[in-house]
Amino acid sequence: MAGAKVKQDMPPPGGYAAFDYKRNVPKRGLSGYSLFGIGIGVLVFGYWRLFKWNRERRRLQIEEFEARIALMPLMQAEHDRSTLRLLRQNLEEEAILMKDIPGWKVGECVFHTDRWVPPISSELYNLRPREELVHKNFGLASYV
Amino acid sequence: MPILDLQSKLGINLDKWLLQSSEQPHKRAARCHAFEKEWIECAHGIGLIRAQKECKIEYEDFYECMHRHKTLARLKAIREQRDKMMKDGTYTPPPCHSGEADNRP
Repeated sequence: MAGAKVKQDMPPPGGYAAFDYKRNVPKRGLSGYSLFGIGIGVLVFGYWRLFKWNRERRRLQIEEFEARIALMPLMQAEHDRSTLRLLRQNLEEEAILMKDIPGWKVGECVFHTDRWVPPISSELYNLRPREELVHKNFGLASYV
Repeated sequence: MPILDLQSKLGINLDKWLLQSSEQPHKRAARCHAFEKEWIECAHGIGLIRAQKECKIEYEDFYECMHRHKTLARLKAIREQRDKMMKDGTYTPPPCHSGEADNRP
């Protein structure tokens, strides 16, 4: 009712001060192209470092292989020696064990040929505890 | 001997897929390469019936190399005899066979 003057909560005389209500999305940072450039640059730098290190690893691997090749005669000789020792022990035990079996030829070769046939692990570790044969066959799997 | 010889006409070589003695990676020979080579050299080109008659020895050696039946039977006999003698008390295994660690080089 416009007649009676009622106390209302009105804005101050002259109105309120201006304030910014618009969206504030400032343009900042690098452009899209330069971001791509930086990403690709980091990638290329990473690849370059990777390829250089892989070449170095290849050189180190070749050196390890050369060391193995240099040691091969020794390793082969020792392996052969070990094989012959095991076969000798087995032969002597067989002579003791099968003395009384009729018709048993000690050290008989099961092949018809004269060639040296490399023995299998079961033959080398025949009279030893089973654990040694298991270790010979599967021991390499324990390397992590 | 082959009548049509299609395989050499078409250039097919099935032997390289079927034999152990064909070319292997890194040139590493198979375990029974020698026996297989002997058998194939003996049995090639003479037909099945003649091969079965004439190449019996090579075939038996090759079979033994692959499957080791005779070897394993022999080893089993030795082991069983050893267990029997150990049960009877007439045999004690030497130290090298008793599971002691061997520190010799």
